[in-house]
Amino acid sequence: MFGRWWFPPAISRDAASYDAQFMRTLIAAGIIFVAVQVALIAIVWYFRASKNPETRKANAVNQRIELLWTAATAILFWGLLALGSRVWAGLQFKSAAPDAEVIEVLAQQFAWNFRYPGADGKFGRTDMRYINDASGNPFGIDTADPRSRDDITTVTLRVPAGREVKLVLTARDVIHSFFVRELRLKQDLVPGMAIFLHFVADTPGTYEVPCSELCGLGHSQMRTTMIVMPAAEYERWKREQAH
Amino acid sequence: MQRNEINQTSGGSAIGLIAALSAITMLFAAFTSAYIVRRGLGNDWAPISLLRIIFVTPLLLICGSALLEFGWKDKRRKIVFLGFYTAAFLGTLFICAQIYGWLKLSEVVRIPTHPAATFFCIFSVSFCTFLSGGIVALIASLGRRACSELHSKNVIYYWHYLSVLWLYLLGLFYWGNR
Amino acid sequence: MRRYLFTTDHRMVGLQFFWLSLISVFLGMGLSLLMRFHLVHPHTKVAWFEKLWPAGAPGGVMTPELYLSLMTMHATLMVFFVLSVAPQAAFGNYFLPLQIGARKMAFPILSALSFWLTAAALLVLLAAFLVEGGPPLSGWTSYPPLSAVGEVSGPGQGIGQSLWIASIAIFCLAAILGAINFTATLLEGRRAGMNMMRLPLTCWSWFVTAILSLLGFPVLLAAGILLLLDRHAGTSFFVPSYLVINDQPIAHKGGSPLLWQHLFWFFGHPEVYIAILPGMGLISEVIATFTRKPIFGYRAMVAAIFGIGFLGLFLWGHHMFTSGMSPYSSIAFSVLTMTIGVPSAIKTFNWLGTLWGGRIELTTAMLFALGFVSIFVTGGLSGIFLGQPVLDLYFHDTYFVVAHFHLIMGVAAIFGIFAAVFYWFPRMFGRMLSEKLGKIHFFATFAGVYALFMPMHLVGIAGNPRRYADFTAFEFLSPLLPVHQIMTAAAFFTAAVQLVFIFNLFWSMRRGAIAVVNPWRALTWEWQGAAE
Repeated sequence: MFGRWWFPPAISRDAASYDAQFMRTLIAAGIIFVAVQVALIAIVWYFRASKNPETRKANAVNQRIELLWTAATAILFWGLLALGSRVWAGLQFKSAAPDAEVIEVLAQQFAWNFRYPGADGKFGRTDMRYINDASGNPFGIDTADPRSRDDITTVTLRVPAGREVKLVLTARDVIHSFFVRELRLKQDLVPGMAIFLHFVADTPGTYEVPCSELCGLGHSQMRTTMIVMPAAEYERWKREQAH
Repeated sequence: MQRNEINQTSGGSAIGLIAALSAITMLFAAFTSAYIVRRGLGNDWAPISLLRIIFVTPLLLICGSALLEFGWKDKRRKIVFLGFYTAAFLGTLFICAQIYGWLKLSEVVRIPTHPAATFFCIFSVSFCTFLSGGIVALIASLGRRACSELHSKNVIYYWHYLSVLWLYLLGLFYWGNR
Repeated sequence: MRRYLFTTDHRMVGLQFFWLSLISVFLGMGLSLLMRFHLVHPHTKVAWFEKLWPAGAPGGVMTPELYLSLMTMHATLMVFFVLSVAPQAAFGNYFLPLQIGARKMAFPILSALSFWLTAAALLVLLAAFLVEGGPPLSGWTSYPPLSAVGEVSGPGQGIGQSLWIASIAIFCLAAILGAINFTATLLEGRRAGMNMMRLPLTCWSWFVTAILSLLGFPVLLAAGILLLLDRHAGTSFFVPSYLVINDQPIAHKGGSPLLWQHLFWFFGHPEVYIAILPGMGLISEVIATFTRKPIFGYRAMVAAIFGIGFLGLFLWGHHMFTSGMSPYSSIAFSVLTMTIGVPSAIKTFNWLGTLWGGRIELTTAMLFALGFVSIFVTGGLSGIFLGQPVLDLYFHDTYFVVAHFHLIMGVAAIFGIFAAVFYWFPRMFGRMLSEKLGKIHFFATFAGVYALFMPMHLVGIAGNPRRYADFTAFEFLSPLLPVHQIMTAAAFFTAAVQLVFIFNLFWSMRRGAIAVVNPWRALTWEWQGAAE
């Protein structure tokens, strides 16, 4: 709509539903905005003192009008909420499909880390004792654990297009937040909690991920990208990572 | 006394007391919700064995409340004063018992890393702060020549509130220790 | 001197609060200009930055940590020392007794004590600028673990953060004492004949605001105490186990960061109603006075004030839709959030209903009242986006939220304060403010704030995150810079225009036209006495 001064194009069906709900709300808000501002200006203009030398009588309180506009407002606001609830329910009340691609996300001051379970489909054990950023082990993976041998750790998030992805989000120092504009999704990463987020990204491309919860002086530099790859390319990439 | 005149000499007001009690209640409600949440989290909630003396302490307050109430109803100056002084004394005993409790507790557990103990101390310290205020108010209202009815009644109601609050807190500790 | 300084006279105390919030608003505004400048010129050297903040702005270039700490102080000053002081403590202490026909507040000592505690809180807060590490950078929301673990999580998180918490705790005490005073005064201090249902809407607003303060501030106080304990006593209320910050393992274990958020927002949401309700009450009185008619639907207006106050206690979770709390509670919070739009709408309709059929005199006070209605509606409408959890998934922590709360708190509530000043100045100082300067101030400010905050919605829609010290790291943010430049220009313009107001205020105190008794021919009781 406004080019870069607007939402980026949606890359999932849920994001498209989001845009529809936004539009409904925008139209409702827009109508109310214009109506009230115009009414305000018009009424003030029409009843200004210079044009009305005599004081008018107080208008009797019209009980019916009061009830009418109260009810209308309530119906409008609740109605909007009800319309948006379907998308919310789909996102939050349904768990990810059992065959979803599971990826761990670990946020820290001031970087993003992602971990894939590898060919065995299992994540290796982690312990904070093994954390070593310098040698590329931000998760603190216990290398003695056989399941961790094929774990893939990355700094960008690669996901397959058209397949459900389930993210397991956590943080290891302060609260951060994972935000992909094109998915219209955001979720805080809270230390001490493992929070799930699932989505299906349909459009391949590279999308920026800005941290969206104040996490310290590097908050505005805490960037990564989500790279949506066609499913075949994604599988090939995963195989290449395993050595 | 006209309705618009609040008796300045007494400084008392029923609404003022209710407002203050609402604020105090909200403070303890906030601590309570923190207590409940913290207890439900993680696995480091160990019960603390409260000294038996702690279970005697509500009696100190309740006796104080009863004495204040009966003393007031009696209306004879000497009895009223006796009630006030005794309640203040019992309140001071209460605080001494709490201090003793904190010292004993710190010998047994390391308080900051023991959530149940920390909360006990937070509740107890807060409570003793408000109780001290009550004791000061009791003594102060005796010092006035004309012991205004409204002011003294407020102090008595405050004392009843504290008695009930302490009973509630003990109930909370009992629940938390299970 | 002693008599004036420690006075318990409700009018003097009201003025003391007024001057305190005036100082705070100019400090806060100055900080916001520094912020807006930095956002569009992040690498520009400014010599005196380095003089003021050698550690925070080496070479004259503002560091991100300095930006964030200025932002934290800006928000804290504005939310607490301006919006929780001027509408309630300043004008309320001055005018509540007058409007109900009382000689004084119920507990004059509490008025004075409340003021001096507020002043102490302000000094403690400002001291954070002077300590090593400077002010905290964790925002006015001060989320743990960032705010709980000390210096290791960032500069300013040492002493600065502790001073901040102490300041807020003292402020809580001051606010609670003030609220006790207001409730007692209103319920017991009314002169015979001032029945509850004859009270001006300002008094109803102050009443509900006081109740919200009684219920909300103690919770913030409790949270602050727990946070201080986490920081200094080794407890772990808000700090979970297994944290590693800057390669340092953190000793705490077992706490919940979400616990802080619940406690904070349980206070934080009623807080915004504390900031706006007195303004709404005043606007009703001003509109009624300058349309020469009683307010339309007085009973509905009273009910709406209570409705807003009551509902406002139960919606705090809408600040936490993305926090990781249960999505079911999100639904509950959002239903209540959308519901609170209803009493707000009732008030708006009733203001329009009052204007209808009136004889509207466009004094400056009235202009600010009308501006309030306009801006409140605009700001409130962005609320219906944010109140829906699904839409909030995108907008949370973006400039869309910043636009929303600035329009309502940073503009509408401030317009309420301006209206109060222009309306009550004759009563407070016996002189009139210049209407000409007032109108220049109004129109320029009105244009300026719309120019500043409307584009902010756009960058929010583009996904521009908030609390970013600069926009250099992200490709999608570069095209938004021209919008930020417009906003910065509008901010500087609007700030400059406030000098007109300051000049008007101080000049008119000395040289303004002498006011007649009740120059606005209002019907409320504060006008029945001679001006001081």
